[in-house]
Amino acid sequence: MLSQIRTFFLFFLISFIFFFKSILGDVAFITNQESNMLDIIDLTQKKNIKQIKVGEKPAGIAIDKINKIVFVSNPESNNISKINLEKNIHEFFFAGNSPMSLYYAHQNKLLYVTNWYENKISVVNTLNNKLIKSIDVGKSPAGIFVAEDLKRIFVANKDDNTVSVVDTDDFKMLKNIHVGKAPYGVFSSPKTEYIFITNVQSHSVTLINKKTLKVEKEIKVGKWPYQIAHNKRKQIIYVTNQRDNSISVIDLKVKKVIKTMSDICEYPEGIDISYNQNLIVVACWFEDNIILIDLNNEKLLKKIGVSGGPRSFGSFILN
Amino acid sequence: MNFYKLFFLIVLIVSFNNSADGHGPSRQKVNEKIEINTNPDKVWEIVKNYMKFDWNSSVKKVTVENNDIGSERKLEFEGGKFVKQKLEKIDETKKLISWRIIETSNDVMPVNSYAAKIFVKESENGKTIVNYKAGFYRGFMGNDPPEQLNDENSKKKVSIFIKNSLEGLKSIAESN
Repeated sequence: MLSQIRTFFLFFLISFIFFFKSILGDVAFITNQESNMLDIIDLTQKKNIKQIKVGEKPAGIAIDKINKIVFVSNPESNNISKINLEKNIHEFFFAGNSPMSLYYAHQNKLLYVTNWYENKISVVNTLNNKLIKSIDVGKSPAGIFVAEDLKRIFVANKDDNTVSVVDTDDFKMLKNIHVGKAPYGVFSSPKTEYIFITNVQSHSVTLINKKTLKVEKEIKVGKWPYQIAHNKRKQIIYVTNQRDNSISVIDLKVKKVIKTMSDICEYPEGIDISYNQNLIVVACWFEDNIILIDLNNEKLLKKIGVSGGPRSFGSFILN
Repeated sequence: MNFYKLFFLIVLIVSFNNSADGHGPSRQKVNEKIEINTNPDKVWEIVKNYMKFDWNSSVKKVTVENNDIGSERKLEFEGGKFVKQKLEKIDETKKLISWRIIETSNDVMPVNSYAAKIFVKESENGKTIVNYKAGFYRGFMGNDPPEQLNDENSKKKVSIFIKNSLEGLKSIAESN
């Protein structure tokens, strides 16, 4: 009986194997909450080249760019999809219930996960897919970012209007920072001194200094800001405003909105940059497509259809 | 003995429901279109008039402040149920109006963070296409929603409301 189960399980795993060899160029991975698919967009050919069935209502995404592994949170099936592009293996593992946002830390190969209904974050060792720690944070944790050099985890607690800062070594809470109303997204990059928070209900972005943990500024943007991409070349950030169909462009030197790209698409959500291809990629939830914008002149280049309800909450481009 | 059986049955049902529905709410969308056999300008005149909403037969009474952005409008249904809306945008060049729901009876529209947009466009044959779109979350935002307020039923209620509204709009526009 046991061996039968084992055989079945192996068969189950093998059935997830697919062939990726040809598509390891510049690609964007789009989580689709309605179709339960992860769509793969080749940014060189500017084409949707593959759809992979993941779990239920996929939302968050993170990529191990060195080992070419994509992690997708499946909040309704309470698991994480781990797709190894080079080994062609798709596995599922548990990282707490209702997983939302993901952050992959290259230094220690850990995956950090927010658990929306559990008011916790989970930490998983991605070498063996084992849950190693659960940490209490605020109410309805949404976005997460880890400043690996500073050993700090930043989590937006949507229903507490705070950002929790947790130490990556001892998992102790360092600080709760008051931000705007309904903070959702948490983004940053090694090339900036700030953590960027999108406050959905106060229609603003909060800049937190990574080191001092002080709020430097709250900047008004469009309605329902969702995600942020940092352009390290120009020291500007792009903010998608879901209910305004727009992108606010903030110059970090003056900490002001310097431009609004209006009528981008309906419900723009996930946004990321490909420097290789000179592209800004935006997931348009209502339109069921993604749009490609020229990074230099910020003009719309192309719309590409996806399988349904694209969100791509997180960093979703692999170069 | 029977009491214990009942008790365990309840425990079983509750835990079963938990495992079936233990997830976060994902946003829903409804996107409906209708073709109207008249010119787009005439349809737009009706659509942009926020003061009047006689398109949907289940709406019994409309109370509205004015036709300005931010204006509140209350649609009343049978049995004292209502939906309170707020005007967000009127774009004359694009022929687009949008509003959101600020308060609602879950029996009529079980939604949270609901925003709707209506576009009026000319079709290829010189007639009109009206596109009514809404994005929202289900009526119950927590974990384990009661059936009436889950994703499926919330979406169904919104779909029915939007379809009825579009059909009503069509018959008003075509009869004038």
